[in-house]
Amino acid sequence: MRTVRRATILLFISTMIPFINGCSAYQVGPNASGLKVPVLVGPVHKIGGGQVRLGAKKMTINGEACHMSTGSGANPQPRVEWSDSLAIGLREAGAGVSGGAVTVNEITAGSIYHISLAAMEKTCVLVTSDVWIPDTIPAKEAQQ
Amino acid sequence: MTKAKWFVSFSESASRIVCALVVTGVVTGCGGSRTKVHLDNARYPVSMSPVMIDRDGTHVNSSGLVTVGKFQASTRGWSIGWTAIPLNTIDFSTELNQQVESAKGEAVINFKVMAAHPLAPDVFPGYFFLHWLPIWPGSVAVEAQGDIVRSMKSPALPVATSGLDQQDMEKGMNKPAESKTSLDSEPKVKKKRHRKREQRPWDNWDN
Repeated sequence: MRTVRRATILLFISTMIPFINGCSAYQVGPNASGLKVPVLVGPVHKIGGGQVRLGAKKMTINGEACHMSTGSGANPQPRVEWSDSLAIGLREAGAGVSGGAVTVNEITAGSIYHISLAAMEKTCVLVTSDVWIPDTIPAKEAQQ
Repeated sequence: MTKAKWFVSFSESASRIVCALVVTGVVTGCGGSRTKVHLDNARYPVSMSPVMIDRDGTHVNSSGLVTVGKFQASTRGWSIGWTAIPLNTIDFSTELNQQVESAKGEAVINFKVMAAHPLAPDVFPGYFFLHWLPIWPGSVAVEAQGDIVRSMKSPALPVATSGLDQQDMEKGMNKPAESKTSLDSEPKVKKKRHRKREQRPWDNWDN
C-alpha cells in the first residue's frame, strides 16, 4: 500500500514538473547575423537563380547552444538567441572572406529534454553542417 | 538508535538518492529529439546572414534590399532511441516558396532556426521515466524565421490592381458592351430609406 502511494505521488510530481517548467518559455536558435558574407542554405544562391562556385575547402562545423533552467522554472526565462556561435565557428573555419559565400547544406537542430527529480531542463540547438568555404582572398572588412 | 547507526543509515539513504538523481539525469538527458532542417526544394536563395548575392554576383546587404515580408514556419521533429533515430526530416521548402511568392519577394535573409520545447504536445514525453524507454518518442518544436526581401535593382512591381489578378482584368476587358460606365448612363437617384422610429415613452413628456 505504501509503495502504491509513493508511486502515485511520484507520478503526480513527474506530471507536474513539465507543467511547471512549461512556463519557462525559452528558445535557442542559430543565426549568422554577425557575418557580412552570405551564408547560404538551399540549392539557389543568387537572386533570380543560380549557384555560386563552391570552395575547395569543406569543413563540418559543430556548434551547440544550450539553455538550462533549474528549479521550478516558474520565472520565464529570457529568449536566448544563438547569435554569435555560428558566426564564430564560420570565422574560425575561414569564412570571413569577401567575394565568396559560405554554403550550408543542412542544419541539425536538436533538443535535449533533461528532467531529473531536481527538475532540471536543458534545451540545446546543434548545428552540424557541411560548409564549403570559398577560396578567395581574405578580407578583414568581411568580418564582424 | 545510536548516533553512529543513524549516521550510517542517513548516508546510505543520501547516497541512494544521489545515485538515483545521477542515473535519472544521465538517462533522461537524451530525451527530446534531434532533427535535420533542409531547404532542398527552395526556389529562392536563403541566407543566414543579412547579405545576399545579387543577380550579377555581387554581395548586397540590407541597404540594397527591400524587406517585403516575414517568413515564418514551424513544425515538429520526432525521434526515438534516446534521440539517436530520427523519425522525420524537416524541410521548409514548401512554406518558404509559398510565402516568398505571396509576398512578391526574391530571397530570404536573416534566416534562423530555433528549437523550442513547448508544453502541450509534450506532456507525455514529460514523464521522465518514460524517456528511459528507447521506444518512447521524443519531439522538438523547430521554428524557422527570416526576412523576405527584394533587390532594389529588380524591376518594380506592377501597379496594384485592387485585388484583381490578370485573369480578372482580361475577363473585364472582354465583357460585352452593355456594361455602361457611370458617364453614359443616367444618374441614379438614391432613395433615402428612413427607418420608422419607434415611439419612446419620453417623447410626450414635454406635452
